[in-house]
Amino acid sequence: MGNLLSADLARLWRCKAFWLCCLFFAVLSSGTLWNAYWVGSQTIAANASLETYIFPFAFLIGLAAAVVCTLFLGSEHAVGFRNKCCVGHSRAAVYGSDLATCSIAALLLCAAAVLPGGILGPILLGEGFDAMAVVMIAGICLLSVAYAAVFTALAMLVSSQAAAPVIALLLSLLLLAGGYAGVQRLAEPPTVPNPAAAPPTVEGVEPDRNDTVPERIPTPNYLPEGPARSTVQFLTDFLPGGQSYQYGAVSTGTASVHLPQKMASCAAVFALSTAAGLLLFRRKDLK
Amino acid sequence: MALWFACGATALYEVYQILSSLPRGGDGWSISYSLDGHFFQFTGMVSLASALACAFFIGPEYGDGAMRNKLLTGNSRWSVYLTNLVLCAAASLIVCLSGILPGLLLGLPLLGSFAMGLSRAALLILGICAMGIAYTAIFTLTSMLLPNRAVSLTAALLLALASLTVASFLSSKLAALPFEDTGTSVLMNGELVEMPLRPNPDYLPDGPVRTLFTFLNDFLPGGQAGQYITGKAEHPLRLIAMDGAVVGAATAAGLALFQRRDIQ
Repeated sequence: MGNLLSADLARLWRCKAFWLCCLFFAVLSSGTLWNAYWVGSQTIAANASLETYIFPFAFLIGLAAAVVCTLFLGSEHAVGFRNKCCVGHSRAAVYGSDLATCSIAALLLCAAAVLPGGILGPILLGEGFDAMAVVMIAGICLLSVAYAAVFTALAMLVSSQAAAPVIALLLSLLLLAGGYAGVQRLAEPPTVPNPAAAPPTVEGVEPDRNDTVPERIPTPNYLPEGPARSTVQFLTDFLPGGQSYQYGAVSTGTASVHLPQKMASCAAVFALSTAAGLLLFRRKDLK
Repeated sequence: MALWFACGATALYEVYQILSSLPRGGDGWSISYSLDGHFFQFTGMVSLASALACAFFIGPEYGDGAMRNKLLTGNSRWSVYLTNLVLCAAASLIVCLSGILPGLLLGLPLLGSFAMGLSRAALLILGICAMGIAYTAIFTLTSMLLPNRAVSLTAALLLALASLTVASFLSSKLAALPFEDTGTSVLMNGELVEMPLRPNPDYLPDGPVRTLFTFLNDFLPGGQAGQYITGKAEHPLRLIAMDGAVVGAATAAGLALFQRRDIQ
């Protein structure tokens, strides 16, 4: 498997899609920090922590993993897999080597986004990553490896070079949309101001209490404590899309909640997708 | 098959938007609903669906050798390019129709007619079709110049997503108000005192930057999509003219580059 891995890493080194994604993340992080430096104290966000500027790349890590994994592995379906099996490598070794390469690619994408923050943050904003931010970065790295496992399985099983990127991109968008919906649903307050109620009063003046219209009404989409809320909370923390949204919107404060569970979920997603992918790849007809 | 998948997805999305907009009973405080705010939601799908249709239609022409064979049999490069452009534009119009027809068939009986008036609604629908053709011109350019089917498809989809993201950024910048809050009055020592308004740092004052952002929001198909979705397309005729410019520019660039392309 060592030979396979070194050959795959050499191919990754020449993969244009991978380097374009790395460049995009590096430019995104650097550009955000430079913009924050030039805007300076004029914005409310001037007092925001460094991770507020860097972590939004987590929204896109799923998309980037989808693009890199499917384009990198798509060309292997023509002759690559068959030749590797013909020369004596087992299917498990071929799968493991490609999975390891895609996981390394995902980690390097994270590094391309985080390193500018670690280098430019102290220089431009006068602060670096604190301990909690470092732990969350580890969580994002695990998340990216989980994404890599899912899209590796997809790319290894879908022979069509055109269909695999489409399915992967749509899947990553679907996961992100589901995560957004879950976070929004959990953030709904129990009640909202009644639009039909009396207008706001002036501070210090007693309001007229003769009307009977309630000031607040129940929020239709509010999830009270119970099985439904627990299920939505579990899915939002378990699925990669929900974690992407929570890390990306780090200023909302949900990213640092349930961190051990999130990391365990990433490990579970990695294990499940690898097991399913390996099982199906062993039975796949390699033409 | 990709075209039918794109049409089906657009139709389903439009049906979902119409059905989810119906008033829920029971709370007693429901507001009035109209077709205006929900009919044009399918516009967001047009870019993605057009990207899929273009890349899946043109991509196999390279892989199967059809492109090379057409040139070998005497067809000029510009006729091959324009034929593909026209066919992809037709596919884009079919995708638009797959959003318009379910929206009208379901929306008119359930939510009533357009509050903006039928003539304005028709003009906006025409504008969305023109926007779809502008997107098609851009995706035809990328698909004709990138022979690798997977790469051209990925590039088209990412371009569609990026255009919607940029449009969202532009519209949020243009919609920022000058001040962060509305005026508040506080009773101090028996007198009503107005508190000073806090300026919004995200507000773009009148000037070159705002002019540029407004132009880009009108020129880029993604910006137009954002305006149609939110119902803030105040000058649809101007947007249609911009689409004409995008089609012209993208086609001219595509023809010039395709003339020099080595078709293997």
